[in-house]
Amino acid sequence: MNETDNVYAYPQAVWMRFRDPRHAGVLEGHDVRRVYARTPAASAVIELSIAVGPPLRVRFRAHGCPYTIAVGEWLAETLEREGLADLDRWQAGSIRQALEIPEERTHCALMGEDLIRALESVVKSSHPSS
Amino acid sequence: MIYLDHAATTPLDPQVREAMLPWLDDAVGYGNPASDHALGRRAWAAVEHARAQVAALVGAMPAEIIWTSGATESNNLAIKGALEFRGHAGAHLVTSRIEHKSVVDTCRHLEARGVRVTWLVPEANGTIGVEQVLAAVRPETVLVSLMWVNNETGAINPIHELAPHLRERGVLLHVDAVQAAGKLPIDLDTTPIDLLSLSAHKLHGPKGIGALFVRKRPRARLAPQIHGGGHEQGMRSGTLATHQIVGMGCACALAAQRLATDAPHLAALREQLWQRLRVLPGVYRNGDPAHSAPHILNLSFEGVEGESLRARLGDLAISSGSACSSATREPSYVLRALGRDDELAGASLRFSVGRTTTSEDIDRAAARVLAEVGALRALSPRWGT
Amino acid sequence: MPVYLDHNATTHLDARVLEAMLPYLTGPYGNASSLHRFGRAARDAVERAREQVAQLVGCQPGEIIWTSGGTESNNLAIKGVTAGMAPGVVLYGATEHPAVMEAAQALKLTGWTVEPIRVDASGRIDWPTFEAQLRAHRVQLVSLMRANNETGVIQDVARAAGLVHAAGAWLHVDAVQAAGKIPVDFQALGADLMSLSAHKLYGPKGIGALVRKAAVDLFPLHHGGPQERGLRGGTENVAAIVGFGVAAELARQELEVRTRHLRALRERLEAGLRSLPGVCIFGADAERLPNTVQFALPGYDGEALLMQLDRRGFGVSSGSACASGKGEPSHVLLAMGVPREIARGAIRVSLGRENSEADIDGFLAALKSLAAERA
Repeated sequence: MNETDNVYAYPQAVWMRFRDPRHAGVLEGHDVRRVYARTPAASAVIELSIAVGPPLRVRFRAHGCPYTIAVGEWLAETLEREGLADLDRWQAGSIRQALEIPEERTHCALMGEDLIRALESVVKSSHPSS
Repeated sequence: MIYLDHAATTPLDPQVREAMLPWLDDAVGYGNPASDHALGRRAWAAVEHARAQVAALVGAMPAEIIWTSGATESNNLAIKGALEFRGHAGAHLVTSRIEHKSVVDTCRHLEARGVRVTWLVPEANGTIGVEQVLAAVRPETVLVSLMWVNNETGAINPIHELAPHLRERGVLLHVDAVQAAGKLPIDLDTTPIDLLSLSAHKLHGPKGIGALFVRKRPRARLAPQIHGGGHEQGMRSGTLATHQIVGMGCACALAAQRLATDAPHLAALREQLWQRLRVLPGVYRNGDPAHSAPHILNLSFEGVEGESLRARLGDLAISSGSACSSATREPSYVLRALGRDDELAGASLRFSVGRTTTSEDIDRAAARVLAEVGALRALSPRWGT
Repeated sequence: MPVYLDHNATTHLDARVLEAMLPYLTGPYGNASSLHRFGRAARDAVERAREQVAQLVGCQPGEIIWTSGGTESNNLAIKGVTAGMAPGVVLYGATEHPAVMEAAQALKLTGWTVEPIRVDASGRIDWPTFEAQLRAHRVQLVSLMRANNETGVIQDVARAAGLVHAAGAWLHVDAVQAAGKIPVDFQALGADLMSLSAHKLYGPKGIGALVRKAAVDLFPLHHGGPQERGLRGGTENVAAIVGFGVAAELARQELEVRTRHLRALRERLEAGLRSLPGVCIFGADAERLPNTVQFALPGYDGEALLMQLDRRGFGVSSGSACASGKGEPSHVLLAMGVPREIARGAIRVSLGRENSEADIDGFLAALKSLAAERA
């Protein structure tokens, strides 16, 4: 599979992450937190596992359309890079923008937002002092 | 790119191309077949030669072949033409939910104009049964319209058994034979079908040309749908596109010559693909190979999402179902009848092999499918947990 | 090599058009409606052609619907517009192409009133009668040709458009013969629908277009499939569409040169014809297409002349190249008040790009010697 096989013309940011996800997988261990998000009919699901570290490591698994998979990969890479501070700033809109997700696929970005919200509450409950 | 979408369209056969070219660039090939001078008569003779070639493929008489712009027009002309000739009032029509969109939409259009329509649903093997059809026939039934071979699964409807029953009851039978022609033997001399739609580009002929068989004895009568000029015995007006018609004639002649060798070759390629892919867990064959046209293999893959699977297989030209409905992504009645839920129906691929497909193509395609199904399943939190 | 003088029936395919088509006959053989890449390449080519045709006729690319040819376009326009209306009145010019007349006549079955619009002796609309018809009825659709296929007579469609719109009706213009021979501007003509055909302008047979303003509700003639936004189902004939596009672009670029050439040849031809005693050139007083002359030599057996011309290698016609009505005098000429016996012997010469002065002179010489023999 290569560049030119993007025959359905997904946005480049989506296609690269869908085609070649660098953060696919599951983490195990005592410091690992897992969060999930799904569409109402459960036709798509994304799972994040976060080893809070240090170093912070994030992996994802996903079942769904290319946008769903790209959202999983993008969240994992961005969280690893930017850390868990300021999670409340993360919105579906910024995810849509970063990946050029079209209007009719907004639900994929909303799953991303759901994951961040779930992650926020997990982080808060495990670090009551923060 | 490996092309495995021959049920959507096929490459033009080089011989067909050669036959067409003189009518495109020859200095004396461009006459209007309706013109009464030397150039016109030359084009007319070529058109009539092609008519005989098309007729021969299906065991018809040349005068029973009407040129159209393709199978969509053939289906429209057959169904609307028959119903309009008879009169819509009180008329009843039998068709199925798994027909090509051109049949479904035409019947819906007639339904909106007061024609009663019975929509049959396929049985568990994906076909429409004879008993089912006969049970739906009423005294006021004008026409039964069914496809010979389903374009999604390749399932063969029992047209041979059905046709004599309908003839006995005085009901017209229209058969969309687009996927059957060149793949199964068709003999209209012995099979009492009244109207039969054909398309050139599904059998290595050009796009933009099709034909409708309209039986002479007993005569099937149609109201024309395109008026003006009285071409094609008044049933279909418009300047005949000589090169297209010559191409269709040549494609049909080749299909007739090659039927005995093409059909087993296609079936062997299809089985090779199935053997390569069945090693995967959670792969389902949609349709019964014993009652299926040789060129189509439809599979559902458990644990993967359909759009992602197709996107990762961009180097394979395959289809998610009928080429005409893939843009609208409507649920597949055929796959549902076969017991597939929405998710499995969504994660289905239609592979359709053709004359130019090689055994190496099949092996490469199978390897690609195995790799990508594996990759998506490895990504999925659902698979194997 | 025969001398072809029947370009209103069909034209040869321009070599440049053929060249553009060939890759699409064999190369990327996708179904333009398929989602995969072969299909996408085909779709891009189809959209490019849409722009090219739109440029030739001054419409938006989105207003173009591909069809199998001019006949289907005319049928789609007339049946497609009326299908969504309560039965009312349709008017069409008395010299229209059979595709328009017969499509309109077919509406009678569903309760429509269908009336021809009279023309004068030159083949132009009889304006007072037309205006009276528009006043007398609640007209919903009027169909007029821009230029006549037999006589070449050009109608003042823009003037008709004003009247038609004031009466609250839609105007369909059959521009099959006009496009590529004279400037055609969908907007400026005030048309709501317009029919086009590729093979009359050195494009391939089997492809045409209907131009439609978005405001006009249209119902499909061929149901099934999402092609052409649901207005015309069926797998796209990609090679032919590409050919139509290129033919349209060439016609636009070369229109002036072609027109000048054709006009000069026709003047030469008409000058020659006028030297024949008693010749009558139909529609001579009207503005006509630069390539068309329809004439008769009263007192001569016109049909015999046609046959003899054919044997001597001159391809001309009596009128329209249609399967019906062979042996019947032209309805166009009858509508212009030409007596049946004269109309029956009519000869139409329609010139094309490849014709030369030598062709004209040869034709005139043949005609004169035949006329002399038969006299």
